[in-house]
Amino acid sequence: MSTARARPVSEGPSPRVMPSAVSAAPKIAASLAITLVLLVTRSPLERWMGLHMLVQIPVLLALGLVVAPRETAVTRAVQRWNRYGAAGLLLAFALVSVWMVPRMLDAAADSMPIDVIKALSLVCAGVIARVSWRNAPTSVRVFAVGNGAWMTATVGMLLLDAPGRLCVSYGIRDQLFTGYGLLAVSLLGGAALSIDLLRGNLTAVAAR
Amino acid sequence: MHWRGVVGLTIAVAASATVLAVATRGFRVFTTDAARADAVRVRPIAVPDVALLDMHGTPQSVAQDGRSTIVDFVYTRCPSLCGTLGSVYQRLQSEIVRRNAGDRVRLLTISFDPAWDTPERLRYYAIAMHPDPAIWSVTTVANPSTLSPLLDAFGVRVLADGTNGFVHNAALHVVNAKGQLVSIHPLASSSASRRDAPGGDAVASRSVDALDEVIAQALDAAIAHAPPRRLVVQP
Repeated sequence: MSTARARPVSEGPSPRVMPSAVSAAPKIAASLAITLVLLVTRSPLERWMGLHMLVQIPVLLALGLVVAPRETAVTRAVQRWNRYGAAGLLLAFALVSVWMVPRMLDAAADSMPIDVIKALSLVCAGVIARVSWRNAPTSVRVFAVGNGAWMTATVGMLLLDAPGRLCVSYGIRDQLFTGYGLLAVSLLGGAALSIDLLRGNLTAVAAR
Repeated sequence: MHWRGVVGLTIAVAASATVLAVATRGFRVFTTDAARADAVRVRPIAVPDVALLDMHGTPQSVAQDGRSTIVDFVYTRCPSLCGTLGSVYQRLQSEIVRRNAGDRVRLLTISFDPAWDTPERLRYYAIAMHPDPAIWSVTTVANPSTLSPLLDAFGVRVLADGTNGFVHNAALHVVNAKGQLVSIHPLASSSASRRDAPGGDAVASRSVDALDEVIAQALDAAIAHAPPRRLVVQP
């Protein structure tokens, strides 16, 4: 699901001196600019299902992961409602799943307002996922990675297995390409995150 | 007690379920076609009263002479899906005759390619399809600028396929005598559109029963939405 670095759970709050809002400003500005660029280029990006699902949506999600705030008093207060990161990860999954539904892909490709909602919800999903990941013990992280890979693979197989076109905006070849693409993403992403998870966990064990 | 964690998780579960339920209209519909069929069933929508021309150049309307109309959209050069629609319409026509429902239901084929499908070319299509003029009209729009609002109202999306043809969704649309779209019956698998894909022919042959079911449902809906038959008292 993400490129979020698996920071050791036992590390605790980072001793940062600079107020995080100031240090994060360029990152947030850059992400806003990229989001705007993605919305301006929505017409070519959404003409093909492959670009829509395998490029635009992942980039929006990744933007959220990048702009997610560092640990502060505010995030710590929020985290008390997000024990083990479970609530946040669930919500992030739901927000991403919505845009895997064929009719929502059609709706986003058709309508600018819905596309703006899509962009915002995906960036939010990224932010929520990153913040929750930090709070999640290894068991929840393993579950999240497995679930994300499984979900992506399922959507890919549904696209491949459908008897006809699922989106009125996209042709059958586009759908098959996207199906194989999602399978590849789930395999590679799942493997990469598993390795990352394993390594982060080993570091934590070594640090103990 | 970590009550905050429990409350947070509960809220997240509720929010996730709500968001997904809205996106799928209660976990029932996943495609645009199905969502539209579902919406129309609940609330019929008025379709624009567009001037049509049949293969003899005679003006036609979407809703006319007090009958229900089953509408489909084709282009006559179509190598695949429209052929399926054509044979579906031939079966609908013989079923209408068999049920003696010709005074309550009519069939209307509209070409979305008026530039190519002139009345003359529609005649070639008719030669292949054998429409009974009392039941089945083969038409296109009289004015190409009216096509886009018409397709929007019916939820038909036409995409260029890159080889001088079109990709389009196919359904049987039932319009009542007042010109309201009252039900949509998607040709579920769009079987022919899959022919170019691996395993496509297997899919096409499997869906014959499904087609029969769609035909029966569309005709039942059209008859149900037709005004009651006037009783003619024999002397």
